[in-house]
Amino acid sequence: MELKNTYYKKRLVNSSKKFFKSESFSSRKSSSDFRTDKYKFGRLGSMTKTNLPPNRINMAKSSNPKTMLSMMTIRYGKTKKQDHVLNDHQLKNTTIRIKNQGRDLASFREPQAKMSENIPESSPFDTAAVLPKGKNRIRTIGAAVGNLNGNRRKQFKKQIILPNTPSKRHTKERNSLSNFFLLDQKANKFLFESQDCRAMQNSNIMKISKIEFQVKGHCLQKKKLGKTMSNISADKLGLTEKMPNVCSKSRLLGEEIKEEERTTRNTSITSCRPSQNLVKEPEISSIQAEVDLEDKKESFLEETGISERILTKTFNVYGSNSHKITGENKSYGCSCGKATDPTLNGCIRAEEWLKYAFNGFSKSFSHKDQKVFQELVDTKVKNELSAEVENDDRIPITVCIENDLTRTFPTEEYYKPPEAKQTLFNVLKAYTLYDTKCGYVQGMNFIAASLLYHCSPDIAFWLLVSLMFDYNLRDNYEAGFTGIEDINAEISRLIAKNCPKLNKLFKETETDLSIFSFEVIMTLFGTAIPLSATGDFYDNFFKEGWNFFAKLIITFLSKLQKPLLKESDPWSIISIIKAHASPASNSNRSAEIPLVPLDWPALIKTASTMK
Amino acid sequence: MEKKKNKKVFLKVVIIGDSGVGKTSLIHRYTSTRFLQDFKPTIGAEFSNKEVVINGKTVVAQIWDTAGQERYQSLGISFYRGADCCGIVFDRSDHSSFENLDTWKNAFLKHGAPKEEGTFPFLVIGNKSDLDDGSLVKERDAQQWCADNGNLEYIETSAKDNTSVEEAFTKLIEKGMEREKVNLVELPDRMSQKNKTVNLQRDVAKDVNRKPQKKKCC
Repeated sequence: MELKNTYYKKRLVNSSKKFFKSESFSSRKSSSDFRTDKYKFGRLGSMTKTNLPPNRINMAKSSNPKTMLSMMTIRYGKTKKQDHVLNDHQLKNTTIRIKNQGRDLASFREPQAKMSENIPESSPFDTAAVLPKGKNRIRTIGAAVGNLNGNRRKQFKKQIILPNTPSKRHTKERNSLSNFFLLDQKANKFLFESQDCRAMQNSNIMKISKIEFQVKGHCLQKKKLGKTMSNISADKLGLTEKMPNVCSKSRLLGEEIKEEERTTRNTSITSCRPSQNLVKEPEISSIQAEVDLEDKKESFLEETGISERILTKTFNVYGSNSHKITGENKSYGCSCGKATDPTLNGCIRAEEWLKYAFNGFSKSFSHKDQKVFQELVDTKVKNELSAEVENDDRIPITVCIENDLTRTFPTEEYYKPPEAKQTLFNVLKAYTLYDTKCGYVQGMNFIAASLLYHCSPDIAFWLLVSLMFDYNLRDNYEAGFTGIEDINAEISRLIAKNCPKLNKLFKETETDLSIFSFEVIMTLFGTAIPLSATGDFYDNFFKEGWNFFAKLIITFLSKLQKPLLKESDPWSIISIIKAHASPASNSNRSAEIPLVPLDWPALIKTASTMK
Repeated sequence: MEKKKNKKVFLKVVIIGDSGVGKTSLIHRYTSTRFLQDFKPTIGAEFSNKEVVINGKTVVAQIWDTAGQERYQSLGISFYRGADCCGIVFDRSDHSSFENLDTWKNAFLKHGAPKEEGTFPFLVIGNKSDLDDGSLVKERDAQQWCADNGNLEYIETSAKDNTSVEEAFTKLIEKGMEREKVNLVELPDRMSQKNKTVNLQRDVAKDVNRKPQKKKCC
């Protein structure tokens, strides 16, 4: 037993060291791991029957908590320095994570307590103490039970609520050598979760009901703490009405903690405790709401084998009460003519997209999500938005968006009325505030506009979010444009494979296709495909992801093969391609380039049947 | 005639400046003599060629239109390099775009890395002069900035009214030619050395081919 324990300790310590050292914790590396061909494109032809794009499948298969974490980091946009302050919506998700910590910390309480002697001070295991002891502990944990599904809840009760009678299974596990791996895995998982605790410890996350203040260490250094505290007001989250007491308490506590921070730099975990005490009441009410959901979760888990944690997150994103995407607020007439019911907030297409978006978990769409969107839209931004938003752009983002409104699908009637422009502005503004790290980048406007053409603004917003995070579009927009290279590489690989003639031409003339592909990637063919046909594109893109994108490029280029093969100068080659890829392009319109008539819906159809 | 053709000069002109100041409109006005009503933001970069005769020399100016949003500046490495001259555009009705001239100039020098940092030919273009409601950036201020930044030349244009657009580009090209006094075929790095000569050879080859043909006819 002794031996086993040391072994276990070693592994745990090693893995923790490894983990903290490993850059997987920083998204840059992990996201680039992620962007390898395997993830981004899958092998062409390796599409499975599930119709899920390869990156989904990988995600589903991945049981490695590390990978999962990197997924999460990608999803939540953590960066290398981990120095961003989560925005409100992300904070909400953190709530769930921290709730889960309650559970996991507790279930690992025993082995952890024994081992903590050998583990250096900074180890995340210290965070065990985060759990309050005595009555409060049980009550807090009780609140956390709300997040567990049936079986686990029972188990939880056995292990935690009645701490003196450790479950047989638990003991068994620890005693069996064969289960070491399992334990290790769990421990690993625990490490991730304790990360948040660690952050909490470092930075004094204050947690009151669903309002959470995450103030990172760096904020403290920059003396931003006070600002952050006051910035995130409860009103912003729309909670004032519901829980006026809690809100006022939170403010008070904010002040308190501020004081505490000043006095104790290296804060002890105990300073988190007062907030823990406050948690219980509102959370218990939320337990009720989430009970119904649990059955669904379970069946989902069994079906897909996907980690519960990701699921929790996704459900959190999409709220707990499932709805069809009907809008009670206003009816939305979809312009593509595929709306089945005028009261729907999007056409049949948008519904289909939602099924694929968020890794296939977004089968429900709730008023919660509409609310989140609405909150983002209602957030007042002044011209100093650029300062608030962690973006190095000099021009306030809103100005930038406004500049582009008239330039998005400029020739389409649909976007001529000011109301349509305002809606587009709202979606882009909401995204800018949602993803403060990346913010608005030109090109997004075309994507948002294409989505908006088919559904209401809130759905368009969430679809955009999904595209950014789940379809890795974000890599393309972030400073450095890291995603573009991979896509370009994939495109040239496919050209070599499928269009030998063109490949030869491009090689001989040393044509650099990236001048053309950049725009297409950034706008997802937004400048090429007429607005009415973008639906066809997104139908496929949501299904297959970048796979389809690459196919379409190939189809498009092979259509142009004839005029291209006559050329021998790289510039004229690019001019021809560009003239076709953006018919309303800024350059070359006057040039005497004879345009090959392109029927985009047909092209898209051909591409979708391509293997 | 054929001699002249051989002296064809290729110049790369890069136009930079904040988003929405009218870079695309200017270029479009110059290359196709029309004012753009509906157009999209430039994403990445675009180029268009214009052949002009300046001082008896035929010049093919490859004018690069770049994206204005700051995020795209890091792309500059590929688009600015090999430039012979650079036009920095600002919107006279938008003072912040004027204040950003510094940043653009520095970004160009940093990413484009021209050989002669101090003397690289820039032209500062104040666009949208037609929007005169008294609050435009004053010529005096702009001249002052140019004087402070290595005696750059300044010109006020309006793509909408077609005021001084031709002039501005002619100036740019002249500056570029001064820089490239040697009649080199200058193409940007990206299209490799080979291409630099390909174009010329192609022209020469055509000429060569024609000559004997003519002779044969005679």
